[in-house]
Amino acid sequence: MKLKDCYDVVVIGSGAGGGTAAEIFSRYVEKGLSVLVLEGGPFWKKENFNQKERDMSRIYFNRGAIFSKRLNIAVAAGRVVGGSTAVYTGVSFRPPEEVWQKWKKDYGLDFFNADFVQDTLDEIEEMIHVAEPPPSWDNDNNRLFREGCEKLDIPVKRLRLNLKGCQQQGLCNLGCTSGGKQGTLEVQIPLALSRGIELVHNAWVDHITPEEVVFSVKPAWPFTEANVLPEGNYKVKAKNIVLAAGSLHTPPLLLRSQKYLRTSPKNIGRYLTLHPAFNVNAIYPQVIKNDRGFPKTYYSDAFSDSEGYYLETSFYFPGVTAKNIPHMGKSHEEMMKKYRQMMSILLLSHDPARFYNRVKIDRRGNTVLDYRVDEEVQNSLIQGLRRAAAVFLAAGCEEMVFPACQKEKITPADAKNLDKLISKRYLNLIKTPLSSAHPQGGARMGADPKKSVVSPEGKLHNHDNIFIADASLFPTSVKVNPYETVMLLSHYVAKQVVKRAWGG
Amino acid sequence: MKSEKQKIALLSLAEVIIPSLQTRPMVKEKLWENFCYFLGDMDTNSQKKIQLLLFALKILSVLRYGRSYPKMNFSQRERFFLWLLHFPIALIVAGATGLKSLIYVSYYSLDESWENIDYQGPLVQRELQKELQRETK
Ligand SMILES: Cc1cc2nc3c(=O)[nH]c(=O)nc-3n(C[C@H](O)[C@H](O)[C@H](O)COP(=O)(O)OP(=O)(O)OC[C@H]3O[C@@H](n4cnc5c(N)ncnc54)[C@H](O)[C@@H]3O)c2cc1C
Repeated sequence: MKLKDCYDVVVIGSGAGGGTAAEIFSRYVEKGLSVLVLEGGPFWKKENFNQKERDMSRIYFNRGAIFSKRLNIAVAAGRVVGGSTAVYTGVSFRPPEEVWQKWKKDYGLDFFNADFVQDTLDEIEEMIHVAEPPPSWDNDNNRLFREGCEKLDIPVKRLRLNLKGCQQQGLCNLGCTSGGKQGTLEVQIPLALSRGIELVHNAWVDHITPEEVVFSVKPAWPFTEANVLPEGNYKVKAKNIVLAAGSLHTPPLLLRSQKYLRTSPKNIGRYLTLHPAFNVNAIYPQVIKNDRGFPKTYYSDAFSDSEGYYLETSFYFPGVTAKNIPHMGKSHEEMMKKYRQMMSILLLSHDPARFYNRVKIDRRGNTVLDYRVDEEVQNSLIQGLRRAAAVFLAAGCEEMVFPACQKEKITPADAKNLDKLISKRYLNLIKTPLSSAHPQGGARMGADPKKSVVSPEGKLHNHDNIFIADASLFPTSVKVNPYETVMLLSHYVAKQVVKRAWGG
Repeated sequence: MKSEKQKIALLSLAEVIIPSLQTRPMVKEKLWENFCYFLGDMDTNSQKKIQLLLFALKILSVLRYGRSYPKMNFSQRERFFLWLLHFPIALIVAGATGLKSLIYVSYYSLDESWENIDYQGPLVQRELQKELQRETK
């Protein structure tokens, strides 16, 4: 491949945001728009996924755990063509109306209205095949979750998923070998490539200036696509630059570029939210084979407003499961022996956007995550843990091991004491860290440049040709699983870029 | 992480975290390989923290028990690691927790561990797997 001297648009990142934007731009390639996508990760195609935790966790930054400075939370994010959509589960939520109304009212995002949300997401959902899964896909994990909730009169809802030809292998988060999961690796990027955009993978962007993107091409890993450019350092001119490196990497990229930019650094990286989560496990007397079948088909938002969390079904492969079970030694090994009798629940807590929660950079320009779990979130986590324990017990579990719990094991005999046993007093996030797969914010979109980083047109404040199109735009947590909202915003920003590239 | 001393320290800790390893020397070898494979791909900051913790394991065990960690018997090693997990310095606790997690991930992502937990492993069998293993060595 030979790079052009100058591109109309250079997109950085190929995940939910970058992939969606690239697809929009590709519609104009035939009319002469030149588009380059730079992706820092490898081009790892489904034919070469091997479903082994050992090998496939390389598809994530830092093997799936970017730790906060305080070591209270570990964040997972994809480092590959397709970004986090190559490893996500495909749970598809539209942004709740109360959230986008707030974004409109409090942050001046006037483009939000019911028609915009519906029309754009209808288009996106059709392209990536969002639908409710048939009941035949429910494995025991999902059935037991529903049963437990129903016994407690907790309303459950069916999740929507973006899948086509899913084989229900149950290993979504290690990359889908069938391509059933319709992320940008399978849908938007191949479509955009077929229309003539250019993609350089293993292309890590160090910094940008208003005219240039500076990157280096890293070695290709075995069993990923060969590099299209020789390893080394590059500069490419761009009339428009679209940053879509995700919440954990777009703000650091801006900070590394700070000396070339006219945007105040004050808010860059700030107001980061993580949707902090606990994944908890319980053992049932019978074999329930949850490692196969679709891991997620039900959720409950019954406590979203009152207690600040969602409960979703989930199930993970052995290494991650073992890591999520507190304690160690013989009792831990005994519990793992019952892996095939295990059921899981994911507790996702809504965290408020705080100025002090942020991504920044160290002296070498690497991402540093500084995140505090405030009281409100801790209370919500405790309430959620109690509720998850009650659901497990109602569904007939034998025992469970929980974070923030006074006892090593909870059994049915403890059913009446859950409030006492699971308490903030026993919550130690250093010993049982939270996890996150939904980082949001860090380059807040808003009308007031004093309180935000990006304008409501998606432009970096004080710049006309630098845009952001990823999860870092979110002014606050969207509360639900975020990828559809990322695609919605990216779709909108990409259209603003096209308007500019085409002279309005 | 290449030194023999680090390997011995790590594996004597792994036995405490996963006691059945005591009678499976071959699996311990594989766990070590896997551990290095995981760690080698992590950022320098994480690598440094893990190495620092292994160092702390050595120093603190000498200070507390007068002998190095691998030389202690099983129950002393167990007690000592639990003590670390309750240490008054948060960074040590976090490091010990991180190390424990990495040992679990390294072990339970080994084919050899799956028989014990009745996990049938990947659904695809690829040449890639064998070659990736060769590459690690
Ligand atoms: C395990 C997992 C499961 C998930 N499940 C769901 C789900 O079921 N439903 C849901 O709604 N959401 C889910 N998510 C979250 C969802 O995938 C993300 O919210 C979404 O992909 C974010 O989009 P993004 O474009 O902001 O970032 P990403 O999709 O993460 O893309 C960012 C891309 O930028 C690249 N990049 C970063 N820095 C640079 C650089 N300097 N130079 C070049 N390239 C760079 C990265 O390699 C990456 O490919 C999940 C995430 C994970 C990790």
